[in-house]
Amino acid sequence: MSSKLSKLLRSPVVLAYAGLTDEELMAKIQQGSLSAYEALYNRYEVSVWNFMRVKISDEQARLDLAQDVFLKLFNSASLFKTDQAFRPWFWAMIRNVIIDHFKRKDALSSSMIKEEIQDDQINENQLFNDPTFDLLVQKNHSEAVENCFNHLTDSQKEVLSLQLFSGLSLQQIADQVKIKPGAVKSLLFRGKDSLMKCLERCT
Amino acid sequence: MKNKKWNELQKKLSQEAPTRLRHNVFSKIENERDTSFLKMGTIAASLMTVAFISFWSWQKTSMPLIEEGVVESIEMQELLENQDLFAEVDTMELEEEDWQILIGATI
Repeated sequence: MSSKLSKLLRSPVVLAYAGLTDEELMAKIQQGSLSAYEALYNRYEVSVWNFMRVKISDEQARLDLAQDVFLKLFNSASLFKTDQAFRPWFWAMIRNVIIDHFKRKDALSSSMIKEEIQDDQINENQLFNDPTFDLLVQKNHSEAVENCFNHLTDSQKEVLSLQLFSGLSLQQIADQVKIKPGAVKSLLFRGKDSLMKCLERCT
Repeated sequence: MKNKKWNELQKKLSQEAPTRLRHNVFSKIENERDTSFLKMGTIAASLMTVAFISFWSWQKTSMPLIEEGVVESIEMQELLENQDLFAEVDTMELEEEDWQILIGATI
């Protein structure tokens, strides 16, 4: 564990709000609590940043967009209904910020439709618990993995990065990108397959 | 349901967020809060000024009339001209002068 992370985990804000759910923290933010916001920020800072890293190659643009996401979270807190789930709401917001940035919502949706091949036959357990894949990733340097990841199609990158960093379920990812869960599995499977082939070439 | 993940891939693609991000976000929020407090203060001050001016102007124009009894008698006349006269007026609280106006109006 990095020193920054261990320091963060011991901070009074994290300790005070550790037992609260995201939705409870949002309720406190709606009442004007900046500490609750800080606690929520701490929970999502790393995952949002890494999702942005996958999506946005330009570092300054990535920083600006990550900043926009967190400011939007604070400014739109009053719009959140505390009886709804926070995570899908928040990730929808993140995706919208990115889509707005690129102004290519239609292009992204059409590329999704092209790849929307439903495949319910893919075994989830086989897809996620693959020792060969894990070993290949482990053997390669971060740069090589990132390079291979960047060679995936936009749709594959989209669902893979949501799977890796958002903590959303397959159904929730499907709802976010507006395709069927079978199509999400198919994109994950093909993305993983492409990554494996690329990493094999690098090894 | 616990989300399944490719832990190795996640580790390789993960990086700590730069401290600049935290700094930028929180300083912007602080600034926005300060600005909104300032705005609210300005609005409150403006409302108080308007309220004071309204009160002052009312006092200046209406008080002499009230003191002279002009306003009271006009209001009483209006009340007496109303059909629901006795529903509106508490006759127990009427002064002698009011009774005279009341009798005059009902004849």
